[in-house]
Amino acid sequence: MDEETQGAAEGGANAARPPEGARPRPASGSAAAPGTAGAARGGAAAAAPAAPPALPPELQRLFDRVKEQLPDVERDERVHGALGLRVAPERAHAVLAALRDMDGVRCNYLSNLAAVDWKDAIEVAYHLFNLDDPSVRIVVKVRLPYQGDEEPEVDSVTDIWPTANWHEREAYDLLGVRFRGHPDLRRILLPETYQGGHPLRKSFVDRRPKRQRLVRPR
Amino acid sequence: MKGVGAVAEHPKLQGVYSPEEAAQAAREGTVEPLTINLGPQHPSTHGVLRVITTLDGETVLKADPDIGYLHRNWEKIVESWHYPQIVPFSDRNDYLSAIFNEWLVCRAVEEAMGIELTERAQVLRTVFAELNRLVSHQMWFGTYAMDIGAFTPFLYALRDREWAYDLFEKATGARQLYAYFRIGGLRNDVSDAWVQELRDYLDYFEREAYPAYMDLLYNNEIFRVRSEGVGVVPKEVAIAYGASGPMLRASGVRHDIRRVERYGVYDRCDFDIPVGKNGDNLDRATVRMKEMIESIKIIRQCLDMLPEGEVFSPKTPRVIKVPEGDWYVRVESPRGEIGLWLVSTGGLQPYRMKWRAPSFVNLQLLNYMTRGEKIADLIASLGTIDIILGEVDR
Repeated sequence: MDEETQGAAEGGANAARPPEGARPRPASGSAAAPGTAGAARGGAAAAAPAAPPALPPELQRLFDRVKEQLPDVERDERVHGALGLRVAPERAHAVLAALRDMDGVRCNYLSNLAAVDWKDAIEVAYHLFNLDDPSVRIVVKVRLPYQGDEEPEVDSVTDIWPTANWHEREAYDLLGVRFRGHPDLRRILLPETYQGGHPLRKSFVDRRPKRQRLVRPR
Repeated sequence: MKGVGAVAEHPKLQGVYSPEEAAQAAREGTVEPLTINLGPQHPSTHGVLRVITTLDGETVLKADPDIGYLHRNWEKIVESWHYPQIVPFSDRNDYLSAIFNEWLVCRAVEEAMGIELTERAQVLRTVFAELNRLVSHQMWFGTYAMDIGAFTPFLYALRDREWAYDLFEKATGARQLYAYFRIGGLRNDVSDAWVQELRDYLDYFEREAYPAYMDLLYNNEIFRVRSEGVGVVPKEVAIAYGASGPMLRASGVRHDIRRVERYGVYDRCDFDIPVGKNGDNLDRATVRMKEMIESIKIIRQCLDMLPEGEVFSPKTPRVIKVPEGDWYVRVESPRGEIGLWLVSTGGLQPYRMKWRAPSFVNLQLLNYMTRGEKIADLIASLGTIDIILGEVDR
């Protein structure tokens, strides 16, 4: 893990990266067309001078084990310090349930569930751990394309880990992801009557009237 | 591992009305459920928390926490800030143990940039963190005693906390919100006199204050009867609900981020991880009381091994720029596992930061813990979750 972060840090510091287009960005449109995603990323990696960082042996073994039983998961190379996996939205629930029950993996602990807005898609990340085996650390990412004010949908995992309940409500509240099958999907941090949209979206504009200054400007 | 099935079939829920059954009973006229608001300004809710409770007489049928009164969208604000600016702002999340928030942000950035800390900085960070854990648990002790009706221990706890806060003030300049950890080390060094005073404080706390706490409250029969068997969280439920920290350990899971992740100098310290058996309020209290002693043990070992040298890594770049990628970093705070998901696209500012607050996750268990119990025990159970609303609402 240390070598990997070190390598990434040097890569960032030297800034010897290919220009925008060639950079293996988090897959523009990869989730939209899962078939072409691999080819597109492969091409980008070939154009880049540095190969994607190799996984530490522990995580590589874990990846092999997962890949053997779930051939449709892909590795996510952005993730450091854990095994990053990429899953198509319609397979997300099945894959996450399998990761909880798979021998040698058994991710019984959902530490965190969060989403990030990439402007053309919202990515939901599940941070999974095994409380009995600290070497198991997996990040599963699901990419949900959307346009404008659409609210993309993905299956809820509250039936796998009940702790996901509030995490999913928060992701719905702040980013506008709809979780299918959630028992009680309503806003949690903002008032239920809030009409201003989802603040953690990059397109969010605060439409509240400007408050008057309490101190006279100099 | 058992999933939700085990949660729904847990024996504690047998024979207790569900809200639907309660509504049915109300239609038949046999029972009249009552909805009562607790908070948002009630002193026993530890901040601005509102709990919507449905009661059958004094028995709780449902407790639905309504949060967000302190919401300021920390995660949105930091997206437009530089990394060094984020460190002091993170203090405001869990304001009773601010050091852990700073440590989390610093650790995430340091790990992403590959900054190595000096030895003295690592040891001092561990010292400050454990002192902060001690202070935070003292505060919990006082407020929990007040929650179950004993007022005096609160005064004792605050009296002993003052000296620790003086120590913090001498070293960092602030009592509660320190801004003391910097990306790459610490802001300033501590003097030998300060180290000696810290040793004096630990001696005082261990010899005088702690035994008084035990006599005043912990060995008191009323306290034991009020806490034993109340708010039970079985092991599998705690795991399924993502509980962490003393909440998880009281249910019998020996899990501590200080052992799982490598940070600070915990790998060189000899300390126990106290665990409970039943997961009731008494176990959670026991775990926290024992953790105070463990913290003192860790601080003493750190002070013994405290090396000379710089506290700020000279190799830290002047401009903090995180390379592209994702990191998920965790730190064990007094309330459990704080996590930070740092998403960077390169540059001076984060693209997204997600704060995994232990109180937020632990508070989900309130409904489970209190169903079928008395309303007075709801306050006690809320006290043993040890929530900080600044962190729940972010």
